[in-house]
Amino acid sequence: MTRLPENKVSPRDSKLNGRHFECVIIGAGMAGLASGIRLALAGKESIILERHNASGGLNSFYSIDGHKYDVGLHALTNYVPKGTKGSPLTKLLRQLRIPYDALELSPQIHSKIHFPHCELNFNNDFSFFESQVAEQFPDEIDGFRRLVETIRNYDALILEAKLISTRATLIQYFNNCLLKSMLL
Amino acid sequence: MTEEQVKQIVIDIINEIAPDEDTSNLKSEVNLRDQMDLDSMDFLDIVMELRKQHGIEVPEEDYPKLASLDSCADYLTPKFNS
Repeated sequence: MTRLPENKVSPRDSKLNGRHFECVIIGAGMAGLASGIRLALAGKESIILERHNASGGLNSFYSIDGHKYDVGLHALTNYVPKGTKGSPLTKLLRQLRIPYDALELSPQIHSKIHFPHCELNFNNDFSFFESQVAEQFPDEIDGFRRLVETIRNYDALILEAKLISTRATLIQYFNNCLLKSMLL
Repeated sequence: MTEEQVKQIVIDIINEIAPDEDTSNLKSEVNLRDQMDLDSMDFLDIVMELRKQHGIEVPEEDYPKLASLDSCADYLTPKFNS
């Protein structure tokens, strides 16, 4: 990655020195970094430009006394143990050729969706979240299970898939507005 | 190049793009997707590596011909030898 502080270095004077790139990616956030990896894997001469002094975009970090603190993601809800087949995390790591161990992941201990009169707790054990929905919304648990089944059978990576609205999809499975809002 | 060598090239590419998959007992005649956890993006990666490593172009309409190791060998061997 090459940093170009505004008004200080022009591309002509920098180390780039007129070098040609087939692809220029503006911004070293998640999407920019992922695009850069995929383009490089495809054999394209690519460069990622970032004007900030740290990569990560909205998922960046700050340092205090040599310790780095994340400011973007606080939990990886799609966490799975190493080697789990068919999961989004495994697929992403494979496409970006990032070794699982390089991320030094730990399962999240506890998270909650908190609304004024209702809360749903969850962690990386999905059956726990399902039991929470069953407890708080007993009338909606069948719809919830149908939704989960639909998502499991849905190939999110199929290239010709059309964009569909999450809200419009949830309406097909639930009557309870509170549950819909909490899931969103 | 023989069909067996072409199959080995495809297996080597799969080992590279999906290091967690066990490719030691793949059945030649069975669809790769039925034997391993591969999705459409992984097939794009196989096509990409064929181009990068071997200069072989596989147009999109021919992707189904990469379904099994046997069909890969049928389709790719003439390309490797031409």
